[in-house]
Amino acid sequence: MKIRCLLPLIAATAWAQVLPSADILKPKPDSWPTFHGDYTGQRFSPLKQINTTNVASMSLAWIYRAVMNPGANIGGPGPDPSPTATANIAGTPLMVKGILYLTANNNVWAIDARTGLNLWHYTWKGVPSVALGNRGAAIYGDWLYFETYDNHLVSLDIKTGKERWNKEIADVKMDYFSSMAPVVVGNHVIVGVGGDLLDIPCYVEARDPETGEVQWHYWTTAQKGDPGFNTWPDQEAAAHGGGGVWYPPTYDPDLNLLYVVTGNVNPVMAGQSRAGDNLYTCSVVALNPDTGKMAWYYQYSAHDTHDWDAAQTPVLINGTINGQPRKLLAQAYRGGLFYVLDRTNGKNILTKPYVENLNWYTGINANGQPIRDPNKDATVPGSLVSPSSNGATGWPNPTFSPDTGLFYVGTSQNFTIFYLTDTDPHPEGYGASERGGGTLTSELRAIDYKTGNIVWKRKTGVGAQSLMSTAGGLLFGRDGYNNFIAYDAKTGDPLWHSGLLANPSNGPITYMLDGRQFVVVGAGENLYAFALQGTNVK
Amino acid sequence: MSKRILLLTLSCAVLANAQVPAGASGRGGGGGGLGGGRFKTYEPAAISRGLPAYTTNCASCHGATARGGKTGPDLIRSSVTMHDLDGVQIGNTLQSAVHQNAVKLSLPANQVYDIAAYVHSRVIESSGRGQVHTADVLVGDTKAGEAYFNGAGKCNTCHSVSGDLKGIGGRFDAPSLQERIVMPPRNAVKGVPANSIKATVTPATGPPVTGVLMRQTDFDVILRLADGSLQSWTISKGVPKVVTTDPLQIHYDIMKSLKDSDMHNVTAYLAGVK
Repeated sequence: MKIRCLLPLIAATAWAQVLPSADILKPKPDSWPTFHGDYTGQRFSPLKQINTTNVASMSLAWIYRAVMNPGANIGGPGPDPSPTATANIAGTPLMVKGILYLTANNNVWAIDARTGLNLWHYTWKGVPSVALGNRGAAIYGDWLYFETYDNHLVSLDIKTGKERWNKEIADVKMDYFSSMAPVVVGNHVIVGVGGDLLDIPCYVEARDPETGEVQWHYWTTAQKGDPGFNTWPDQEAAAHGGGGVWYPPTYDPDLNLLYVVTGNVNPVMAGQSRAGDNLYTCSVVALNPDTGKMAWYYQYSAHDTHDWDAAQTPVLINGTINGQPRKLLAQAYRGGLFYVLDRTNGKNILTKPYVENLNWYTGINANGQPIRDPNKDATVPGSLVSPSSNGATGWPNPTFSPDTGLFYVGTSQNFTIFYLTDTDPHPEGYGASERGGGTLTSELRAIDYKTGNIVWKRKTGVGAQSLMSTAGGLLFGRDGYNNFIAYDAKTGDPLWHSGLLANPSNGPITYMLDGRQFVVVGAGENLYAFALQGTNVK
Repeated sequence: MSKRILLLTLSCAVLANAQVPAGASGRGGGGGGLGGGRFKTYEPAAISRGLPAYTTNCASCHGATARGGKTGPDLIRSSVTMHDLDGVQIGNTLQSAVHQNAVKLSLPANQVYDIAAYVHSRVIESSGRGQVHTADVLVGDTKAGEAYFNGAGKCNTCHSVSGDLKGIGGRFDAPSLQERIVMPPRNAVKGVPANSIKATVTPATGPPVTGVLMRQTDFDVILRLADGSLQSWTISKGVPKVVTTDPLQIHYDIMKSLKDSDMHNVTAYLAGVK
């Protein structure tokens, strides 16, 4: 009887939550509740009010300038932030129930999604960030979660922006930093930490959404006793092996597997003290989100020596290979190769370069992995390598449209000279320098996921870029000359563009409010919203 | 658009085909190099005093460069060092029972400070990218480089060691020379890039216009004309037609297949052109 009485109460509580679990699992069309919009990482929206036939008349709805607000909620130790501080918007905003949640390093803003007016602002006073950007936030129930640069997971009351608690997830003095957008899976807040300079071992963790306490902890470099430890020469190397987690994982609820992508090895470019494959760096690792146990892994580049992390989106596709329905994972790896895996077991299905002129491997092995050419490691007199450490693409997200079957990615074909500067048997840090070289071309490319073939390409002035595709037949991207562009997703023809005050700098999103579809993108310190005007809104 | 507004806009514009410096886009996280501004920099005098003090008191266990030795741990990738400020934590560790049982050391506070300054300088050095020296790069065969320059590389098609490259070996150190062999810079001379891309725009009506390409997108093109003024056109469905000429295109073409040995040999050859 008691249970019967409680059920309506539980249901009412869940109903009242800003974002219940069910709405994370199956996002409502009027929302963008997670980093990628949903768990697949496709960055594909089913919205189609704005489409190929009418996008030419899309225009500006509002602009929001992300600056320090007087009266902001302030957390953390340290000096007050400068009142004139400005943001570089690299994170993808979330949109839930008419409110946008935007992050930049150590800051969160809540913005009315219809009008662009600020509702609240939270700023963290910890160690000032020198990172490239904060990827974004996560929402669960009535709480927002984000990682500060100095490794604090902060939980805010989503309605007021007031701090609920903060938990240190790594030691900034050891040169850890955090930039990942947390991901909520069930009763877990998944967080990751990275580090660039001084050979620290990195990890991913599940934290309790109520308390912030650790539920499980997974080292991304195999430690003593772990499977894969034999890919390191000794504990010293594994304990300093890097493998930063600075990119949000994707998730398959049916398989209950979390797909974590890992960073490069440390020491970064001087590999003489870390003979072996160096698992699980430069890999995708499938973890059970309830236990942190690894189901399988796939390493895109064994014993990396060029700073080519795997911090790109592992896109989940329910596709067809040789006429058979398959659960796939597709990733355009930074080193220039496009991979398709069976995401149930990690078996390789396809490996193919998505740019030309790669010169760092001699072939592909039976497991679909490139065979590294040691002659193209950094050398003392210099080694001319393509791509540079910038890679053929980077962390800015690709997109996949199930309507076109195409995987879209911003690419660059570039060379640089890698010089080995640390010849010690036990190098530290980067251990090498890059000088010179150049970019042959930068292109937006559309890849057929079944074959890896390039279906169309379009020259741009930028390599890696954050993209979004929609059921309206559109692909949103940029050209490196401050233009935000809507392309025809089938052909790559530009159908609409708008010159902004800076280059678009984050992943675009879209949502529907009051029957009107908005497209939102950040560029520098400004967030822009576009929509159809007047009679075009149907 | 007025010319003034156009000029302001161009100050932010990216030149078409501009090279992307290595490391510009970075990876998912932090800023690279020399601690990314995260580590305290100590005064050079303290570091200079700290090196001999370190060598005398610490190097036998912790190694000549503080990376660790047979009996002492690495002090660079060390939790004590990373949590140290001004030698306080390092000094506490020196006085700890663990350290005193291993090695008895009693150093004045000012010397501990100097040693800490040196160790911290090594942290910053290790977190950087390191230096490339001329002697490291000059490993090529001069004669093979000359043969490539005048033969397979066809460098002499555009260049001459008695003409544009006269004395080149005295003007640049070897690493810079090697960079320029692969890809010369688009030097700005009086505001106009010397190796700039030239373009000819042919409007639907009127004569073709030639100038330096300042920007080319799917939607517009901007040239700097011979008189220094800027002119822009809207591009719609491929009109007007734009034809570009890049004087560095041959370097891009060669870069695709340039062997490291040829690169080193030509560097050795040109380094000798004094």
